[in-house]
Amino acid sequence: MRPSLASLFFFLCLPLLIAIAVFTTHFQTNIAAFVIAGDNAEEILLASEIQSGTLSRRYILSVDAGEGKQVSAVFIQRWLSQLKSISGVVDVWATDEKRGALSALASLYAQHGAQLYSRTPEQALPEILTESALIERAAGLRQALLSPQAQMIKKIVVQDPLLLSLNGFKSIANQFKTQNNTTPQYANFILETKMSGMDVPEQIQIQEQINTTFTAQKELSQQSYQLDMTGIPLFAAATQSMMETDIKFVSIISAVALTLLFLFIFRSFRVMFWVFSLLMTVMAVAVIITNFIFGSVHGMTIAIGSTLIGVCIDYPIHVLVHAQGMELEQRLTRIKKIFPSLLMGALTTLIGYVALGLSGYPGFQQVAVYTGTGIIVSLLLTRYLFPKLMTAGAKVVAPFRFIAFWPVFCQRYRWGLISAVLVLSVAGIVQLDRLQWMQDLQQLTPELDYLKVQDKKIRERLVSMEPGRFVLVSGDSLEATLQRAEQVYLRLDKVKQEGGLEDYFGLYPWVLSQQQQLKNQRTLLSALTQKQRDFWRNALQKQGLSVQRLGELDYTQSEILTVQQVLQSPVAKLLSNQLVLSDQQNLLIIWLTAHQPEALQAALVDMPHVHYFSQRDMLNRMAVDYQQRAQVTLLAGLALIAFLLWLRYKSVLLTLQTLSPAFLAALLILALWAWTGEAISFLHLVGFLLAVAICVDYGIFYQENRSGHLVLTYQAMAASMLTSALVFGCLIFAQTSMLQTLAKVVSCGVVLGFLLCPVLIRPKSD
Amino acid sequence: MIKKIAVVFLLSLPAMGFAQESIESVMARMKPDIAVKIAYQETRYMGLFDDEWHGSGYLYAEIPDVMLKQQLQPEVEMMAAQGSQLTYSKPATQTFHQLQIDESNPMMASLAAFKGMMTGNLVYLRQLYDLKFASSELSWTLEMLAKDHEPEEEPIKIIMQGLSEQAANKMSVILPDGDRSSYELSQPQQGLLIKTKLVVLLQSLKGQ
Repeated sequence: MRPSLASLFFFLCLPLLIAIAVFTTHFQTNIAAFVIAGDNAEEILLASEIQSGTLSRRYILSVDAGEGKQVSAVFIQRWLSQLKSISGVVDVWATDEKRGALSALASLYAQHGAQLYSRTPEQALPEILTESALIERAAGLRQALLSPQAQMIKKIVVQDPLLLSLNGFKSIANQFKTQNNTTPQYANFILETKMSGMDVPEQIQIQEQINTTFTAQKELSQQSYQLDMTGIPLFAAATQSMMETDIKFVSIISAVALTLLFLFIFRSFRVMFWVFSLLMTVMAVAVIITNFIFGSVHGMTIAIGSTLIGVCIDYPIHVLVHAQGMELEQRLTRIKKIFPSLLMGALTTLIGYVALGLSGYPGFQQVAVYTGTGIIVSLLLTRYLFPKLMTAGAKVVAPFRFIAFWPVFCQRYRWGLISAVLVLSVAGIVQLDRLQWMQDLQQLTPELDYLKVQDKKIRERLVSMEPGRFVLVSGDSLEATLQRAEQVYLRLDKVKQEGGLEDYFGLYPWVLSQQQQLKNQRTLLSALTQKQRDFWRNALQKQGLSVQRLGELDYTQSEILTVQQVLQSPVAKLLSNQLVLSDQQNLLIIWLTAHQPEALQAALVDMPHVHYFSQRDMLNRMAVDYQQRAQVTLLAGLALIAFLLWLRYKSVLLTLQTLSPAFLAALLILALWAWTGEAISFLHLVGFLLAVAICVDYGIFYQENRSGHLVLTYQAMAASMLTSALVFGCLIFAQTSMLQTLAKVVSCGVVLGFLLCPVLIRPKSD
Repeated sequence: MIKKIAVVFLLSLPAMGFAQESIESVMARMKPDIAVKIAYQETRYMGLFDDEWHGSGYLYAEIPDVMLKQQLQPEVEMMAAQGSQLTYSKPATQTFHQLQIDESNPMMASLAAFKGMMTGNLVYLRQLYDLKFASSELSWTLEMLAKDHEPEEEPIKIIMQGLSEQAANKMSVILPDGDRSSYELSQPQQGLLIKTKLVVLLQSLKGQ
């Protein structure tokens, strides 16, 4: 039989469609963007900064010389120069490097001594300007001018004779000391790249070159050092590699499995070719539409959406089972007859995915659009194009023995089986109390645990800062943010005094608000009377220092130090991970060392735009939030499906009967989780919703039996069930545990739903 | 007449030979067999001080690359350079630093220059400085201009001087801002005892 014009056109357009999908789509793999959503503007800005800002562009490199040994300075010097020459690397510096900061003291801070000497000038000045304090200061100045730091001090002192600009740095001198009191066994560096940490291909290249240069240098110097690395780019690269492997592996496995299944059921390569072409079209269109709406398509969307095959394949399968071997006219009539069931099934499945999209998880909105598009396109192609692709020469396959046996068996022993199912259901309901909810969202990605352990190990070698807990200060202007931060420092000082906090790292002494700088200067000038000036001159004279050059205390210079100036100086790299600046909002991060969270929260509770932020707590709060949203979404989805069925059947009994296999399958799955003690997350509920949406289709097909041939209908359902179970089941081989969860839930759900249909539903007679 | 000139010329040849100092010969003379100790008197002229500052102590060196400056007056202070690492200690102010040698720091620059001279390490000096050597019958002078310096500043200049066929007896360090330090060097001593003393001082420095 000659192929129709429609089928020719279809097969010609298919390669074009696939090419458009592949070459015009922007693929994304940032798993955080898929799962994490901030509830407020600050969390969203922070999440964005973590994904693409300074924090995301840095690595921490730690060289371990071995116990009792020290990393050679020559090795470090040579290796650092090689690292700096790697394309894409902006800078590399030792975590304890102060050279840039010291040069900034003379070039930038010396002229702002009058503005930056203290956060509390009223308390500081009486201690600086007494006669004895000035004598001590002059003696200290003399010592400093005779020390190895003389050159730096000379540059500062001619601008700031009282060395007020160094006053604020006294407080962080101890912090520096503690920070740098690490064992010489380790040499730690920060490497900053030009591109975002999420730019995985470029970052992988940089990671390879870091390792290559290290190995080469190690061999050259005949050392046995070990290199450990951590940073957001490493996590991003590991996640992408994992997802790419998953997508490739799962796609290949499910394609092979589906092929074999198809051949087993339909015994025809031609049939397989028709159906797979249809599916390729469905997926290409889904990718194009999703990319059009969102600007990109996430890897997880493709991975989860590839399960779409298991759903969309149902429609052509039903058509094949009911209409293969018929002439075109007969085919079209038969398809027209069964189409309402397919449409109803598609609608209920769509409700499941749309509910997912409305749940608020950023990534699942994409999945909803992707799968929703796929279902609609598949349905339309099945109705209007697929009949023209089929030929009359297809084989008619006899139903399997089980397909013929099981419905008959269920009818014969219906009440017995229903009683057994009821007993199981009651037992299941009783178990539901034992359901455990996942409390820690970090458990969603156990496959990244090795990186988390390494990250912790490296950070323990650096400073005692807790990277996941800090105080977040926000403001719409930078000045407001800095002023708020200054209030926070006062509260933190108090908590420190009370023992609730070991130490913190704010932006002082590097920068203060304009308001504070002007206040500092005003207070200084009014306190610097002639008496103080005479004390100073006498002190200089006693120390043999030049009164002519150091005796004039002119602190009237009016320009304040701005944040922009600081960010353009060598100090920038010390502060850039504490400031997130945008047009709408500015964030300032105050790092914390060991502390009592309750003490900090209590101290900051009444301060607007100030939050004690704990990444772990945020994730756990999100876990609870997602769980609640998932529960609401599930219930709303089920209610809508029930309403839709009631609208169709106009009978509560029929509606319940149609829904019963899906509901009971769901109940038994929940009971199994409760009994095994598996901690369930919102992902389990998502899979749950998908399984229910698919099982409802089986209920509809079995209930309506529109073809009038129950065995054929059940055969079609079996083929659908096997493909769904297989495709979702293939996700069990994925490395990503999120996909494994979906595999378990959906596969078990659809199998149970399929088996329960003949038990619970008395169909329309053959 | 010609005969007289020729005789005078021939007789003066040995003298000329002896007067021909080179930087290599000076460095060879400076290089100790084991370890060397030299006494020094330091005078600093600083624009921010009313008067000169005076200090004194000893310089120790051991090949290939160890150098220690032990200041005894007016306050005890020790600075040691071993390889590229510098250790500094001043008990009076309870100061102790351990860092990489930064030749752009004048105090470290003079120490690095001393280290190079006293260990006879010409290669090391050539890495850090542009060298200009001049000699006459009675004396020699080695002028060193630091290669590494701030773009807007003059380089640090170090001038070492000595009598012909003798080790250095004077050093001056001239800074870009006009401040300078002068060292009078004397009483060079060498031997195992000096080496032992150096080891003890290094251990006491690192033990802090």
